[in-house]
Amino acid sequence: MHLTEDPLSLDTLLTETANDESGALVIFGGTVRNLNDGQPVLGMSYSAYTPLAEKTLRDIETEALARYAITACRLIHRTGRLALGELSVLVVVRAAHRPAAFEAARWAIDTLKQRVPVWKEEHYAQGDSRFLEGTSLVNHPEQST
Amino acid sequence: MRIEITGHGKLKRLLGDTPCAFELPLESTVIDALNRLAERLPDLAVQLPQTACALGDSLVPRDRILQDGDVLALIPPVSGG
Repeated sequence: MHLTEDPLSLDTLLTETANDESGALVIFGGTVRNLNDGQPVLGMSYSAYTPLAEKTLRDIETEALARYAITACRLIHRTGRLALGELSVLVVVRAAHRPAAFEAARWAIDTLKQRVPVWKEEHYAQGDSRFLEGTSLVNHPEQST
Repeated sequence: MRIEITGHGKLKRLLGDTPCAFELPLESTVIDALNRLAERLPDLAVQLPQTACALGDSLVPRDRILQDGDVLALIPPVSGG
């Protein structure tokens, strides 16, 4: 599972990725913050196009394992309305050594933000909301195959 | 043939929760469906150049020939994380 409406469980990903070959563990978590572009934020709604989002998250895990000397990579993204401070995304990478683990985790979250069909809608104190600008997938290689 | 189009992210506001259904000639492509949708929803036209399209779990190019029963998903610029 790579998308869930439930609060994210770091323990679950740590258990899934545990192995004796790894001496490094890097965890990235994204959380909802209270300010964006100078505007107070009350919360965030995340929505996804599930079929492609699930597949792309799996693809990024597989690609990370091919690109870096790591032993495990797991990604999970939350959907639904989140309050300030709640985790929206987790990246867990394990490797024999820390350089590859750091590099792979950075690459995985950057790639997730560029390729996974998930959208953020910020909710403001005045009661209004706005979808955040993002990265178009129009020129993604799959579009021309 | 009959196809449906669903909107996601901010495009869900334009298309609503119910898929838009169209009757299209056989051999119609993704761009044919998008043009038909833009006729019905003019506000969508300005968004289409930055909007990707997917069938199931795959992105598809504009010249992909559609099949009867396809559900075409409109994917605006992504902003997860």
